[in-house]
Order: sequence, then structure tokens, then C-alpha cells
Amino acid sequence: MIRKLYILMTGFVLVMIHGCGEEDYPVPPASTVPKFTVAIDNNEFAPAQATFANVSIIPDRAGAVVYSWSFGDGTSSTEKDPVHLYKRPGAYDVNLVIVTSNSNEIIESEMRLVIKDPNATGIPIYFTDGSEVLTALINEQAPLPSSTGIKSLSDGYGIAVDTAHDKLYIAENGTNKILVANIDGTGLAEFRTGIGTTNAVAIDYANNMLYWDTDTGIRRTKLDNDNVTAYEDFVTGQAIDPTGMSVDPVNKRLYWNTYDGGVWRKNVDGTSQEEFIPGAGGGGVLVVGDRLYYDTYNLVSETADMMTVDLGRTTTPLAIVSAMPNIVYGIAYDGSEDKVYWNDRGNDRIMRANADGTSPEPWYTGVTSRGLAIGKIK
Amino acid sequence: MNTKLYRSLTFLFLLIVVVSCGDDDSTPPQATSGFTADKTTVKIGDEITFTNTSANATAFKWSFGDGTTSKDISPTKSYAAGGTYTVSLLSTGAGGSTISSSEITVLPDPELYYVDVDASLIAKFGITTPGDVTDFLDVSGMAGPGLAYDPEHQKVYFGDFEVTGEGKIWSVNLDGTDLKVIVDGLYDPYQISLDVENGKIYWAQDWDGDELGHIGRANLDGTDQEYVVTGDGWFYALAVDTKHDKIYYIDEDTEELYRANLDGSDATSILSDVSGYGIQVDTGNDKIYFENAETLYRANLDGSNVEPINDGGGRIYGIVVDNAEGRLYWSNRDTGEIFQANLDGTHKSVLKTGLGSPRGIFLKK
Repeated sequence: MIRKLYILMTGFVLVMIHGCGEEDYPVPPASTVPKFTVAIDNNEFAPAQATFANVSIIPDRAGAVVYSWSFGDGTSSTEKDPVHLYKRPGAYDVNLVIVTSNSNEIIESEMRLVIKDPNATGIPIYFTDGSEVLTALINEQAPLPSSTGIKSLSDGYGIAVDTAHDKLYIAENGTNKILVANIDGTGLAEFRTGIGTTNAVAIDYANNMLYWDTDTGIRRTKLDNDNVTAYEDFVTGQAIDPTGMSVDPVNKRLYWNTYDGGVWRKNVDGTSQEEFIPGAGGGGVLVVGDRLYYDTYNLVSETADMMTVDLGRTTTPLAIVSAMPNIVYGIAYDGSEDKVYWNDRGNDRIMRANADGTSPEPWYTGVTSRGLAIGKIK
Repeated sequence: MNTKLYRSLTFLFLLIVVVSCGDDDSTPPQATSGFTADKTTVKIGDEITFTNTSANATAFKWSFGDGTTSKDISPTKSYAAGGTYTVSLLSTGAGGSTISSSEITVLPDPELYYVDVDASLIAKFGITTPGDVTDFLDVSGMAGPGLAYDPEHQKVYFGDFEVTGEGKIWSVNLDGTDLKVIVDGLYDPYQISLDVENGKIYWAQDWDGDELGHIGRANLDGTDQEYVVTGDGWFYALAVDTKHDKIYYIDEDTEELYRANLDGSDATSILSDVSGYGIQVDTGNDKIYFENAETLYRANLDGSNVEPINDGGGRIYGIVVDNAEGRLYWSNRDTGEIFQANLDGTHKSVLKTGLGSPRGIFLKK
């Protein structure tokens, strides 16, 4: 009986394999893939000419194809590789549509282009989406983020702007590196390598020092030291992963947040390490004057609140915004308008509020931002 | 027990064989793709409604030929620029996919040309995109208020009153080639009007050295120049009624608006106390439009039924009547604006502001 069962099962498997054989393709058919690249002249300032290169994959079976392009400014083209002049600054969604004659496909590929305003002035703000550093100006206009040209980051998190030397520091979580670049995005280089799993960087201008976090502590190095492996341990043995850091230049203290622990602080001379706000940790922290800004992550609700408190802790911490779906990796301050900016990553937006915590509002929606830093007016 | 298991397995086996190959047994019908459009020739911004007539299809994707798509069953669509667009519909059902295509023609944006005497420039813009101004011709040293267009020969005519007593009329092709003087030695020429059917260009002319104003005309190449009207006053405003073969003009000395035959004969005053820089004839509705003391008016061809069209505020040199669309355009020299409105002056809006001194205008469709 077992033998009969075995034969039956074998037959069953054979039928399964062969029964529908005529439907199986020996090789999956090649797909049509719409793709394009673009080169924009005039440093991407309006008026700018965009030269598109259509690098779509068109297999033989697709037959004849028809291309149509929407340039996002109300104009279109049916050329294969069009050239288009953008007269005005703005964000333009370019769409390439392919219609194939034999394989019966209508498929498309979209890309957002930003043509910058050569006359725009404001406070530059920088942020990372993990793979790219973007920049925009804080001014009366709607935010118009564009790439700094720093791309292909490996899980880039925290960023810091060295306004004294016009440098940008980027914590690379994926490769245990800190990268440095000029403020205009040029000259990207490794600043430190093999420095631990970091997700934030902070500058102590008075001592010309850069701090970064690891899984268990905080390290620091001189900004003018070119040795890519040089650092010293500043904090060690932290039970909960340290995250964002900020230097209080008046009281010469470093503050740091820990993932779901508390907010800690330590004098930059290495003395007096203490948990400043116990059990209230998150991703980011920032000291502005005598105020501290930080987020707290609630493990039960899995949401974060954006908080502020005075450094003397004479008042109850104020929740600026509650129940954000993700912890805050970037907090920055714009002194020109006395406003605090932070990343509401889970809602794909950058928020801001008055420095006293009032009037929180979305500033820009459309980026899953991690690091955040604000530079000098231009 | 074993027999029962055996039977059960056999049944399962047969069931799987039947079910697994079920798709082979009845081929689903091939999807067909088809659609109609409620209009196939449209203007910019007109909404087209497509009606899907596909069969045996459950999923749809449209390519509108301008880089946009839709997954609606029967979408609506408008286009932002003139041209011919191939609309394709991909209809997919259990029996596969099929594409059908059809063409939509979007008429080009009519372009409004104007001469700005302060900027010494003839420029143009599409009436749906007035922000995008393109220079047509630098008229430095040859600027003037008169501007007219011959669509049949794609030629632009403009007056030149830069040097008093050496006024000229120039012609230039629409592509910018063949710029030349066709009439020379005029006292300051003002409004220009064309009678293409009869091959003539007409112009109004300021007082000359003999203190005489004229309505002049010539062939379109400038030959056979003659004066058809001569008066003690000066003449700024002039229009040809090509339907009834009449000319309309204002004699600024007598402040009369005259109608006359093309050769100037049988001149009759149809309105008194009129002083202005522009006249245009609406041959479709048998109306004249004219400026009088910085207000635009409309009247019947015999001067009756005078109605104000705008609320005044500047000298009007350029008037365009677009019969087909029922639209009226005019320039205001003093406010530096170009307006559009319905033919009765309703739905007035500013198309363009901030110009130096806009004078003559024409619409190129």
C-alpha cells in the first residue's frame, strides 16, 4: 500500500510538472524599461537648458515604440532625446511615456528636476534622505529643495554645518564613516573611517572639535586633524545607543540623546557626566541659548514627541508636537527668525516652530529626512 | 483505511490535474481596444472627453501623447500647447492586451503681437501664456505706432515715425526675413490697415509740412502710392472694412468719424465729437470699435448705437477683433497694458502689464 501510494505521488508530481508545460516560457520575455538621464546647464539655475538622454531598454519583441515627454511646465515633446529650456525656477516633474507597437505596453518613468532661482536669498538649510544631501533656502518663498550633488550615501544620517569653515559633515551609518564636503557640495571626501556605527555629528566651535556617537558611546576629534583614523573616546559604556548631540557653548557641555533612554550631558573637559532627563530619549537634541530641544520616544505607542525645556529645568518640559510616527534625527535652529526646525521623518516632512515651542507647522513636505542643519545667510 | 486514503488521494490528484490545466480548456476572448473622443480638434485648454469602447478588457491605460497618462476607463483631458497628439489606449483583459490609437489636433495658441515704442520692439506672446514674451523684431530707429499683419502672405507691416517728415512703412516676413521699406517720405504715419484681397495697404498720416493730413494707400509692395483723403486736420485712426469696401477714419481737426469708399469718395461723417488713435471693424457682426477720448466704444457701421466698452484711462492705438472666438483685444499706451474681453466688453481681463508704450497690435492665429 505504501508502494502504491509512492507510485501515485510520483505520478501526481509528474502530471504537475508536465501537465501545463505548454504555458511555460523557457526564458521570461525581456521587458521594456523606460529610463532617462538629464544634464542641466547653468548650474541648474534658471534659465537652464535640460538635455535628456533616453536610455530606455527596448527589447526586440516590443516592436516600434513611440516616446512622449512631459516636461512638467506644460510643454511636451515626442523626440527620443529632447532638449528643453526651463525659463523659470521651480520643481518640475518630467515624465517619459513609452507606447510599444508589438508588445502592447504603455509604461512610464518620472523624475523631479529642480531649477534654482539665481536671485533667491535666504538661510540655507541642509538635510539628508539617507542617500543624498539636499539643500533649500528658508525665505518667504515656498521651499524648493535641490541636490547639493552629494549623492550615493550609504545610509547617511546626521549632518553638521561648520559655518566657520564652510564645510558639511555627514555621518554615514552604513559604512561607519564621517564624510566632509564643501558647503556647495563639492570636494566630498572621507573625514574619518572605521569610527563605529554613527548617526549624528556635532561641532564644538570653541575647541574646534567634531563629536559623533557610536552604539555605546561618543567620540571626538579635532576638525583640523587630517588623520582619517584619529579620534578619542569621550563617553564610553552607554547602555542605550547614543544618538543626536549638541554643544552648549556657554556652559561648555555636550548634550546627547539616547535611543529610548534619556538625555545626557557631560562637560567638554570630560567631567560631570550625568543623565539630565532620565527615561525620555529619542534621536535628536539641540541647545539654543538656555533652551534644550529633544525628542522622546514612547516604546508602547511607538511614537515620538518633540520637546523643549529650559536648561535650568525650572519649568515642565513642553511638548511642541506629539505622536510623530518616528524619532527625530535632526533638529536645527534659524536665528534670523528665532525658529526651530526638525525632521518629522515618518510623515515625510520638515517641521518648524517658534523657539518658545509655539505655532508648530510643516515647513516642507515630501522628504523622508534624517539629518538637518542650518547654515549662514546668503 | 488505506483504501479510503487511496481514494481520497486519487480524487485529489484528478482534481488538481483538472484545476491546474483549467486555463487551457477555454481560451478567454481577446480584449479589443477602442475609444472615441467628443472632439478631435480643440483649442488649448479645451476639455476632451474620451469614451472607452473596448471589449473583454478590465484594465486600461491611456497615453495622451504629451507625456501624461491615465488609468481611468473614460478620462477627460486638456492640452497645454498646440500640436498633433497621438492618444493610445491599452486595454487589458484575461485574453491579453491590445492598443488602439487616434490623433487629437490642438490648435496653436494665437499669438498677440504688439509694438512697444518706448522699448523700440515688436514682441509677441501666446494669449494663454502671456507671461512668455518673445521678441519678434528690434525696431530701434524705425519705431512707430502702426502694426498690421497679412496672414495670407505671412507678412508684418509696421510704421516708422522716428524722423518727422521721413516716415516709412516697413514690411517683414513673419520669420523675420526680408525686412524692407515699402513706403518712404511720409509725414508721421499712424494706424495701418490692410486690404489683402485688393492688395492694398492703408495708413493714416499726421499733418505734413503743408499742414495737411492724409489717408494714404499703396499696393502691398509699396507701389502706386496715393492719397485717398486729404484734410486740414491730422489723421491717426484708420480701418478698412474689407467686407463692404469702406474705410473708416477720424479727422482730428473736425473731430468727425468718417466712412468713405476705398478711394476716399463719398466720405460721410457717421459720428461727431470723436478724437482717438484706433479704429477696427468687426466684419462678422457689422460693428466698428474706436477710441474716443481714452475710452473704447462700439457702434454700428452707420454710427448708431454707440456703446462704451471699457472705462477709459488711456489712449488706445491697437484694437483686434477676433470674430471666431468672440474676443476683443486692445492696448493702452498710457497704462502700458494689453486687455482682452468679450466683444461687448464683458469678462475684461488684463493680459499684459508693465509695457513701456504699447501701440499697434495684431493677432496671429
